[in-house]
Amino acid sequence: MLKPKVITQVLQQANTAGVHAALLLNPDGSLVSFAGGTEKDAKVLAAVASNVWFGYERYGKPPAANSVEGGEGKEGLRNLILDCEQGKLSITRTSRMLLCLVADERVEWGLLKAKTRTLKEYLEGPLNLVASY
Amino acid sequence: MEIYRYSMYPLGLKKLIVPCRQLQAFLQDLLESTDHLKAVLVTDKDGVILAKATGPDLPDHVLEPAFSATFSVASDQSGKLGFGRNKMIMSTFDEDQVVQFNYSPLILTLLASSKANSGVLIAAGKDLEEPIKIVGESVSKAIQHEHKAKEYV
Repeated sequence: MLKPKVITQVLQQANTAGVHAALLLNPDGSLVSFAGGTEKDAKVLAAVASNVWFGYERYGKPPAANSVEGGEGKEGLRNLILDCEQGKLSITRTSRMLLCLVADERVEWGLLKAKTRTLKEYLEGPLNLVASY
Repeated sequence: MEIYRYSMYPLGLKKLIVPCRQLQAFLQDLLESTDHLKAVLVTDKDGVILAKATGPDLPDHVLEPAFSATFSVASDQSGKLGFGRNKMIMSTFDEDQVVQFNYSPLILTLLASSKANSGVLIAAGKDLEEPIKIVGESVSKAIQHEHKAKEYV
């Protein structure tokens, strides 16, 4: 079973040094859990993050240079970082869900990427047990 | 109608060719001076290529996917998050990374191997902001000229 309270506590640990929200969402954009910010904001963020992620996954992949023209050989999307005027968003896949971190514009890329990767690796094992459908 | 009869290009488009060639030289310099960089593209929001520089071992069909069109949609959507206008999107894949900058009305795309230093790519993209904005202004003027010309047809 997923314990929502524990997931929120894990996500909350990322909310330091300029990172003000962490979200876990289903591939369809529905929110599983979040820490930081209001629920209304989290729902909007989840919907947009999911849409952008799947847009890039379907149409934003560069085909491998040695692939045949029109053939397969596309790569998997690992991480997506969006830089806006007043904030930054980092999105990655963990198990079958998406993990999204929201930070203000002063947060460094490397820190945001490292936090996202660490949280992804921590959540991947437990989520694989419950989200194997 | 008169404009199209006597000139190969519409009025504004002729003025666009020179800055585009200069930009092409900038892109080529960047490609040669940055490690693991595979291609640099300047496109409009629909993905039409204005200038590009590609490495020798990169087949043309690699640039076919609608990179810029995908970015354009994603950039518009992220503008609705309440964090202001979207400036850049960096996507990392198994073997490649793509850094795209929103220099409206143009888009700069840097395609590099995942070994490339992301910070260097971001800095390189920011350095190209001024030259791309100059070309962007020419593009806007060319579009305005075209619209005016069409009014007289």
